[in-house]
Amino acid sequence: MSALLALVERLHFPFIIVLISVGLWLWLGADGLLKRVAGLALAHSALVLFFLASGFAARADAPLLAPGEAPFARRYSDPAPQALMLGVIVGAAGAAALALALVVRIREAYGLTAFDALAPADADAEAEAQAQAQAQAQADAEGPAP
Amino acid sequence: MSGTALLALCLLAPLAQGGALLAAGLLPRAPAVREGASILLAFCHAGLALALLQATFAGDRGMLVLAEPLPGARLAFANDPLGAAIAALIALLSALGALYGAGHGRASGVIAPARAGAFAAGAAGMACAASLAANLLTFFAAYVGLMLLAFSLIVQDGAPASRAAGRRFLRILLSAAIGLLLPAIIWTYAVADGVDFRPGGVLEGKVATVEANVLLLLFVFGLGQATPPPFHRWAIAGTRTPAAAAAIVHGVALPSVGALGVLKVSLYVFGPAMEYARAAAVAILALALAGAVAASIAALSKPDLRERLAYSTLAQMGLAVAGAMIASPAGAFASAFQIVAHAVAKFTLHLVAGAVEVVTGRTAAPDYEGLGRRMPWAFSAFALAALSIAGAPPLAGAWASLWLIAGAGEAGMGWAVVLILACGAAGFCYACPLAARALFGPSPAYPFSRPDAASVLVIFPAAAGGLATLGLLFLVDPMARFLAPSLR
Amino acid sequence: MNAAAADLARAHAPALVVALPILAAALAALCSAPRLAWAIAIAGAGGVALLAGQIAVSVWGQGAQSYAMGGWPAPLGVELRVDALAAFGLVVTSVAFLAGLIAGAGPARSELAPPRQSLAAALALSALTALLAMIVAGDAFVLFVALQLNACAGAALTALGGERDRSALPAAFRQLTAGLLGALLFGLGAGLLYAATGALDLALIGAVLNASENARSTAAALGLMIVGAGVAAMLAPLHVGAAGALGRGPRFAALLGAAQAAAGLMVLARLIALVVAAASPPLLEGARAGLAALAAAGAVFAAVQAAGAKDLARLAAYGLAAQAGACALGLAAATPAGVQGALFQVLAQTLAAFALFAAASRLGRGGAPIPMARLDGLGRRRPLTAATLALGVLTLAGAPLTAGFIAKWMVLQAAVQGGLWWGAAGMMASALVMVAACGRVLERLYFQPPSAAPRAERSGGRGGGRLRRARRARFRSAGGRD
Repeated sequence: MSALLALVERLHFPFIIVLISVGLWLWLGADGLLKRVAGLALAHSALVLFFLASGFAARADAPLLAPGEAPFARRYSDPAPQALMLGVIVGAAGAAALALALVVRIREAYGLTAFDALAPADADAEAEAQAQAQAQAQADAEGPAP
Repeated sequence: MSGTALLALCLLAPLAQGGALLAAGLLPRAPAVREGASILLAFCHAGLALALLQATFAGDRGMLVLAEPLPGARLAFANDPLGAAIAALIALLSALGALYGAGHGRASGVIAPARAGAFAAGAAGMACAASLAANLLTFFAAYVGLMLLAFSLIVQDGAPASRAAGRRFLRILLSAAIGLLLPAIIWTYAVADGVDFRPGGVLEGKVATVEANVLLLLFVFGLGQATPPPFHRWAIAGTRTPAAAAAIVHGVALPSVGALGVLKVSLYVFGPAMEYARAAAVAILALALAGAVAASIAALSKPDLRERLAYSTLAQMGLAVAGAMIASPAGAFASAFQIVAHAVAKFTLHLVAGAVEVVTGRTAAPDYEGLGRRMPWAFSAFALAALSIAGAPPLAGAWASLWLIAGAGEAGMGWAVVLILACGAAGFCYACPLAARALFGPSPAYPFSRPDAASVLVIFPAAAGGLATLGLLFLVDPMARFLAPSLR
Repeated sequence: MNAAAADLARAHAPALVVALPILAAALAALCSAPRLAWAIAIAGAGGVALLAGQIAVSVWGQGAQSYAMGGWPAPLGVELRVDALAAFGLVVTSVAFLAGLIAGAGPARSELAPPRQSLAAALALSALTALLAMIVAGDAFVLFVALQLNACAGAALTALGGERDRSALPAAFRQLTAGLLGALLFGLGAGLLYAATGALDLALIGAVLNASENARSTAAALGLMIVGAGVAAMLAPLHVGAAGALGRGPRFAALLGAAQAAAGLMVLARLIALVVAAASPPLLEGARAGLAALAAAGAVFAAVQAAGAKDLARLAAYGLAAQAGACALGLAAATPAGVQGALFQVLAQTLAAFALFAAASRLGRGGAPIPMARLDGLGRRRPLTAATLALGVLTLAGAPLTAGFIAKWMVLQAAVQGGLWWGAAGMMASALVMVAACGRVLERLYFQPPSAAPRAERSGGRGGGRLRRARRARFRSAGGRD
């Protein structure tokens, strides 16, 4: 058990780095918008773990003990980051919800959720609108003549 | 009146003139009111500038501080002898220009004469403000203001070609001003804790050799209005400006302010520190003189007269910059007198070119043949101004060239003397045969578009300018004595 | 009673300045009447501006103050720090925001469907909360949360524009991504610092960092935090999300953009103060060089974007980003003169951007795009709007004697004196490009004949066909040639 804990203690930092990299890769690189939102959540989770881990020191005792009292827990971690991370979890959830809402709206407006396809779709629509406007203008110009 | 009050009035007068013109522009039916007010205020400005010069002569130094946006860098004006002399020159010529503008505007039907007149008055005012600036910050503000007003005049007819020319004009001058001049000013401010024009220079003892050389290059090339190659091509855009405004803006204000800037930088920013910037100064001197010779030769090939005048401006300003770079009292005076002589002669040539444009409807040099028989006063003035540009004694240009040769000889630069003489010879070739053919050639055969346009309002300023190139002969010595203390 | 309440408000001003807008936001969200919601928003922002003024006066009189949230002082509790920097930021941000709301409420009412309006007011107030929290926070964690809230509120505001123009939705997503990413990087940096020093309070970190030996992780942490704050400050090239959204979102949201950049720059200023306080020469040098490189490159990049912008609002947004680069260069000098110049630059750029966005919201009624051709001959047709635009553009370009010129002068001088030559050179290059971008606008305003305008408008993009035709008819009846 203690060997496992020691392993975790050694490996937590690389693990968090891997986690955050995967999160960022998905968040910034994925084509599907939903995947991006998932990446966002993953990256934020990694941030939470990072803070929690940095408040977690090996062989640390609880600081407030009466003289002579035995430590009531073998392992102790700093409560401040834990309290703070509650806030981050709430914030991340809110942000993910907002992102999901945006995805819904984008899907309504464009009919697709592939991020890289959105700008070309806009360009197409613009070209079409221009062609229509030109046709309209021609009709305007020809209409009143006779 | 005290020097400070005169300074303030001298700066306010062109503003009032421009404002009056714009206000009168709202009553398009009463051109006489507009022109009367403009001419009156322009002559007031000239009178005030002369009074300021007189006060400066009497030793009354005023200082007008408007604001201090940065510690040690104020928005301030002062009447040092050099600045006051150039301001008086610009104001006098601007008054003649206002007369000419009234006559020429009626005959040529220029678009929005009120606006053009107001911009020209504003440009003259900005040029005066730049001449009287007490420090680099104020000079820079007035310099950019002048540039913008000149741009407005270039594009004022709204034609696509004008707009393209205006854009090129602004691109060259503004990029030089912001990219080179402003960094140089801020660098000076950072090094010397001040940007005042001070006899003896602010940089003395503050810069090492490398810094001094780089700073001088930044300053001179940043002052694009002094036409240092390769920042000279803006001058061609002057052909798009209405003739009356071109005389005062492209003939006088822009090149004079640019060359004055170079002179003031060498005297009042560097001072003795020019010694450290020897290498850059000699390089600029060589470039300016070579550019002057090249521009003189190029002017020969230009049939359009206004374009030829623009190239001639490049050549003449090259001489003025060269004088400032010699960094001796003789060189500095040569530069100052070159500014004066060039302004008067070029102003006259522009006026005659504008008059020919409106009378005959033609602008090419071959069409000038024999015009002197129809417009004798104008072409007598033209001949005087052309001879002055070519540096023929006893006209104004000759004294400037002589002082310059003396300065270069003193400094032991024989090659510079050769280049100056070459420039004079080329100047003779592009200006004098033209004047001679106009005076003595056979009467022109083509019909005139408006033979009645050459009213006295148009001819008198040109004739006055021509006489002035001759009269400057008597001013060389007083001016040398007046300026001597401030050129050391 | 009144006097007692006033005293209470004065004593708790640093907390109230954050609490007031979020409470008003909740209230506005509950309002169904749009008019009432906007009234609440303006009243809330007005109250914040008054409080900010009060804080500024008290800081002027008594110097920097620290407010312990809930009576828990710094190491355990959350500290709000009100010093001269924060007081300046509070006043600039709250006044700019108030002005933006007043000028933007009208356009917003024509731009958004009534049910969305109370939502828009509430979101604007939430954004204000985030900005104010960014300025007064004395604690890295509070800063992180404020950055997150800023990203969310800003993106939601942008998304409101999706009704008119669907391209606002991807822009909002991009803004959310960029903002949250910035916040996340900032949070990671804060975590690294916490691991190294055991403190989250910026003043404490500054004091402890000196003794810390983990130089590399500290440098990484500061770099991450600077990048994170740079996103909020719209520092190019980190501005892609926010600046793009300013040009595409609803107009009234763009009006609030100036305040946003100002608050982000305040966070940067705080970080630089932290680095200076740490008194570690290699760390300071690294931070200075890094920030100056970011600032100079960003200023050039954004200026080039502004020069190429086809839409007025986008030009204003990129211009703002370029100005933020100038400000960051002043901060990078890390001298009193540099910070002074940077703060003056914040003032100048806020004014300029406000003028531009206000003119844009007047021109693009109902949030229609404003292609550059719309500006042709505007000086004749609408002299007042044109003059506003011209003044804003002149300040942006740093025309002599404008506030922008003085500010750039101060920044450049500080950079030169601080040895950041190349930063100053980049800044000058950016200024040159900005002059070209702004000159183009001025030329169109005053030197281009207006006859070309309707033709260009027709090809000017989607939306508002009826409006366009009406305009054309008006133009014809005014005697123009089509």
